Amino acid sequence: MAKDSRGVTPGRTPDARTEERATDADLVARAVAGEAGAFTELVVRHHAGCLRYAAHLLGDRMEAEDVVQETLLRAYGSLGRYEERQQFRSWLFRILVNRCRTWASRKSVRRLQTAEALDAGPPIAGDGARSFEIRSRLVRALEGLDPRHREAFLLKHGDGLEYEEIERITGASVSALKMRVKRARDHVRARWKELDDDA
Amino acid sequence: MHDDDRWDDAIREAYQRPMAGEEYARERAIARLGRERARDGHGGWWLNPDALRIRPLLAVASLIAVLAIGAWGGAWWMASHRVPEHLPRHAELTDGPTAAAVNDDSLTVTFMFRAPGASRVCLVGDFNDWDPNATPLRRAALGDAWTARVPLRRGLHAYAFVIDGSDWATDPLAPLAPAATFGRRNSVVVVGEGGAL
Repeated sequence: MAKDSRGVTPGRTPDARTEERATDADLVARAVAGEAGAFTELVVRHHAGCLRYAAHLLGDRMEAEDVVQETLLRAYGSLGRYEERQQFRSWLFRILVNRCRTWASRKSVRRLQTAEALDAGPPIAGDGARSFEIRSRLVRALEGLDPRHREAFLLKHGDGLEYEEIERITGASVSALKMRVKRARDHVRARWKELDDDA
Repeated sequence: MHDDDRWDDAIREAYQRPMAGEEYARERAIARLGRERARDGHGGWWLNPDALRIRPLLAVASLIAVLAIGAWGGAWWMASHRVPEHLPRHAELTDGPTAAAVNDDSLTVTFMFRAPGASRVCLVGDFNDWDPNATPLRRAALGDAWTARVPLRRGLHAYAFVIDGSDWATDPLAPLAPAATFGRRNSVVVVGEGGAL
């Protein structure tokens, strides 16, 4: 596959031809057996989701990249403890959420960056102006939210997870999560309206 | 569609919108994984704190096992270093050697001597030709008490203790012999009639 000037292969997609039928659990088993490429394929599948969550939660793209890298390294070192009855994505997100919490406890969450800074790269070809505007507004609406509320809100309204899965990932009870999500949603919605009015 | 649903959809759309440079970030992550793997071998458990974590149930079981082994070891040590029951406690030692067993001609006499810090204590006397290697005492449970049981014929016997092969000492709990033997003062024990010392 052709590589660009940075030596990477931007065309690689999550579903490489040879991995079409492999489930995450299959790939974990192969990675545990020593097949390095199997874990790389898991990274290909899940990196974007992890980065999106960390970037929105931490509000800092570069920090988010570091946290996701640490998460993947920890996941790789802990593959032996992964149990197949868990979804790999939930298991990985549990590590990610904990890493984000650790990071947030070390440094008080700073003001969120702008959507442009969060993207940290050139505009995506074909990306609609409307979509970009909504992202910018979301980033600004998330400002001022407590990390635990932001965490619950992003997992529920961003990733669209069920409360039971969020409970497994965060360790918080469903009732507590519902309360956090409601408060966060009220906050984001109010900020959203203010931004609408400003516009 | 309800306003709330539309708003939720808009939020999700904004959140799920691909971030610029995602692919480069992913490749950087893969490259770092490759570097770490090459540096640590296959995961390097000694460098990975997760590898040392232990399940709570296993931790409790391990703790119980360690405590059980410790208790068993302690009981074994106490049993193996126990002061013989026929010996009086040190605080009660006021009369020097004690007698425990009797036959027609002799008594088995128990000697006890306290020698803090000693590594070897031996009993010498006229009953073993003052041989400093003939009758070693055994260290008792409390660490600085040493004991020996010796069959002695009835009558008066002079004795002393030799500490670490060179220092002679008399028994502070027994009377001293009136005359020196081999130039030293010695203690004396009288193995009397009727089983009394």
